[in-house]
Amino acid sequence: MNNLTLELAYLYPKLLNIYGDRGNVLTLLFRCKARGINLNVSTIGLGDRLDHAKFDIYFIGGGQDQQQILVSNDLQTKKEGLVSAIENKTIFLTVCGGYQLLGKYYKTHDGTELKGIEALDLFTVAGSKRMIGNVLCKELESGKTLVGFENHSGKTYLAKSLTPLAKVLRGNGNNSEDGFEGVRYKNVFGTYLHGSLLPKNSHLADKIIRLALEKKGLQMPDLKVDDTFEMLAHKKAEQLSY
Amino acid sequence: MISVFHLGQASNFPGKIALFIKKDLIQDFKLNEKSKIILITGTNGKSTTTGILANILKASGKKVIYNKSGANLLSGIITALCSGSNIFGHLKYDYIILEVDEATLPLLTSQIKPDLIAVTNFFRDQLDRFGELDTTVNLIKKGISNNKNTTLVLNADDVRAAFIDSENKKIFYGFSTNAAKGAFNNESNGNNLWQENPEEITTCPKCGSSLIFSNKFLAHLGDYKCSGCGLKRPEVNFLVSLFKTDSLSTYFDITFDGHKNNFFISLIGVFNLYNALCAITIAKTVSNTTNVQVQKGLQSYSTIFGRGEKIDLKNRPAWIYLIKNPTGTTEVLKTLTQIPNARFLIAINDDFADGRDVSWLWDAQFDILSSHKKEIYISGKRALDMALRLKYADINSSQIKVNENITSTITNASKSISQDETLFILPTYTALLEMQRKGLCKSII
Ligand SMILES: [Zn+2]
Repeated sequence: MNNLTLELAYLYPKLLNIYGDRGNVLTLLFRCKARGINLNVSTIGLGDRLDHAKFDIYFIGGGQDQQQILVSNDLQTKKEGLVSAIENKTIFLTVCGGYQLLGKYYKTHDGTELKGIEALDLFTVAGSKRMIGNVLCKELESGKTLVGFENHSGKTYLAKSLTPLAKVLRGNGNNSEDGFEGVRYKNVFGTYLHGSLLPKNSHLADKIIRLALEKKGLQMPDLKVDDTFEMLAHKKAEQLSY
Repeated sequence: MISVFHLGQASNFPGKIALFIKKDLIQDFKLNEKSKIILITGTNGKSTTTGILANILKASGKKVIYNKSGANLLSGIITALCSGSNIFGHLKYDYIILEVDEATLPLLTSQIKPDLIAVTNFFRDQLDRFGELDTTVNLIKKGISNNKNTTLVLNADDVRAAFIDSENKKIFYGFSTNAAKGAFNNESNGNNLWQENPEEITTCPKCGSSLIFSNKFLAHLGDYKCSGCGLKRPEVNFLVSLFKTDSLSTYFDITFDGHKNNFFISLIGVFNLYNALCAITIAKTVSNTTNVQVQKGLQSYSTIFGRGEKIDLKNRPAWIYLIKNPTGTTEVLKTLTQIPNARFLIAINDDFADGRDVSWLWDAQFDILSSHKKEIYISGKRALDMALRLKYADINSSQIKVNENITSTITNASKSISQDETLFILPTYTALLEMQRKGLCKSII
């Protein structure tokens, strides 16, 4: 066996765990294992020290407003390291709340501004209508479809200089106005798609693993994972129009 | 749960017609002056608590009426009241016990005056229906605020239930920090991702700081205090001071009024102990029922395997356990995997009543099934999502038998399993309704 090893930091699993986002980490674990890659997961909570030199992949999920306030405060203490990790092309997968907090701020219904880490030039404002439902979109980079379930009231707006992750084919996406979903910057993936996202979009899971290996100068093992259920579940979700 | 019963379920039909004719019809029921109305709400345990309470009060010689398990919307409640009243709307019962859906509570309490409202817990359940958990808490708060004289029975171990904002008289139930000493065998499943979870509420309702738990009994239910403002679990009036469980029963002590009282129930799982505790707290609060009568009630409620319902499939028995949220599903899996020769059929739909979002499957610990070596039958509209969930819980793909059609899946499963095996069917609500419509099982909810 080779000794390919990747280190993943799972941020705030206790607080940001609301819509099955843990499935993304389970998927990365499974698909790494299938290829003989050793993926170590470290969970990072409030007040925990974050060893930025150690991690190849960061994952942050979504939470409710209450939890998001705590996370927003704690992230300020980790901000510098996270921003430089992003600039150094470390891989980030962030969903919903985690995605919002990479930006400048999240303004809640009552006008409170939760600070983001300002790594990306985007901001989020709570809208009056909750955007809930299955989403079908097309990843700009690969042209492949992404499926997921969105559930957010925050409307996210990207600066002109930023590229979205995908074009919305069905659903709301970032703000239900401009027809785009998520953000794609260096090796950062930000998205509103729960589902979990990665199990039904295995092409994206593999891309994340490949990017993490390549960043370390390693090659993705040429080993095919049986994707029968993944493809069928993806196709099924493509047809859901509610 | 709302739309479940709009699909032509007989248990709600009279209620729907009545509501259609007269919107404030509930006020027309005439109660005995002495009858007491008890409402039970919260995410989990409404049906079981209602059932146990009804049995305790019956065992105490009281006349009791209650709504059918799951029929907890206005239509179902009116149906229950219709069936219990004469044509003039007279209800001759000592106790009217109603399990009430969270969103229905404010509608109901604007029309009737309950003597007691019990709030069991707040778990993530159909979040896509109510938005977020706080919305559900507010619905219940609104329901309570309609009646200042109603006594509240609250789960002290659930911070959202314990600190529901209200001036009403409150009685608390909960577990002693040491209650579970030696009660659990082996909780961990190897994967460190689960040790972090599932914790649904970890923040203080007053100041938003994180809560520190000296012990957790189930998910976020435990003995807590706030790291910021010092808020802590209220003084518990009905306290489980110790419990032990074997494969079929739970033995427990409840301390109240300074005395320790010993009970047992033929149900397992911490959830069910909370349900029994809630029911006993209510019974002791609204009546002078004796411990012997309580125990008699607990015994008459019992079913063999937890809260499952037995059905007959072509002359062979099978058991049905509804699944609807991560914590409940995990508890069911923990319980059923202890039964020898168990076989599993899981049917997942994503209709409105099930919750449109199936991402909750990823928060349930299906890895409990990873040591199960037999084939697992998967069905329902979102069968493929379920299959994928099992695959990523390290269950071999060749063991996962997928067929979206529920009827043929059940027929195949009951034919394929051997005589000494027992089939456990885990459907979501509308998957169960479909089974009933197709005549695969008798109506059980
Ligand atoms: Zn506090």
